[in-house]
Amino acid sequence: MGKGDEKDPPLRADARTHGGEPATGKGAAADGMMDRWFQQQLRHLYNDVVNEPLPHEFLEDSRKNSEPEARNLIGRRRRPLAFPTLVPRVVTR
Amino acid sequence: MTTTELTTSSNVIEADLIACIPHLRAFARFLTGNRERADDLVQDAVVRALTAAHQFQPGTNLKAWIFTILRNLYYNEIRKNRVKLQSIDEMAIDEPAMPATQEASLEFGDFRRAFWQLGEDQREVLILVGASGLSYEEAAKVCNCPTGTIKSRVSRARRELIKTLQEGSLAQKRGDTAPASLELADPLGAMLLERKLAANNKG
Repeated sequence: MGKGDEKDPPLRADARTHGGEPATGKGAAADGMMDRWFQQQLRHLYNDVVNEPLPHEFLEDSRKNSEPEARNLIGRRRRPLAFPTLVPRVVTR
Repeated sequence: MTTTELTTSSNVIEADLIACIPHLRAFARFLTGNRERADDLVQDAVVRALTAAHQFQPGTNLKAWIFTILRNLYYNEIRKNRVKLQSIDEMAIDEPAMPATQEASLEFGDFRRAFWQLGEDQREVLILVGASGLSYEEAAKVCNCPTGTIKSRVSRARRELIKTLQEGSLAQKRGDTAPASLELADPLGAMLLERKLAANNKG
């Protein structure tokens, strides 16, 4: 999985149809331009964080904490898991 | 499930989890508005996912699965501790510095400020659907609500954000000398033009 390289989601068209009447002619072109600008800014915002380097030992800490003997501890804060059995299942088509 | 099977599923998931971590960090950052808290949350979510790797259903979306774990952890934490939310000004400190041109930076800076003025649920759906690439259906599962709710939240968030941008633009216009007709003809175009003018004036 690359960083910030997913397909464009169907945000624009659906957002507009929920927002009101569909635009036509020049209005539609302006909406299209606005959609692209909006998507670009949103991606920029997100990718700025996605592309940040991971903190040192980030993964190591996670691995260590997932070892059986550490499962009742979380991170450096050493507090018990709030809901040890609450793990959701997500099914996609 | 045997211990061997548990270990195998955990190893298979671990590689995919690592690839998801940057996205997980971004989602956590936009939920919490705080770098350290977001990283703590990501670590907790990764630990939880590795521990419960055997519960993941192969063929389903791992990113949506771990986003759901992180979101549940976050809201559980909020409910339990009543964690104080940061102000918008504090959040801005955690955001990365912007490169690019002055004009683009001005536009993006406005967008970012307007984004942080949205409600938590609106920020969340924009990030899930608009930026992280989840479908409406996947986002609905992450947020544990109907798909229609996600669609309306996205729509509302988008309108709110654009309204905030336009209001910001209008407020600035009242102090500047930009022609009022621009606002009526094309509000966003007017805003962008004003940014360009402001950039030129500063330059």
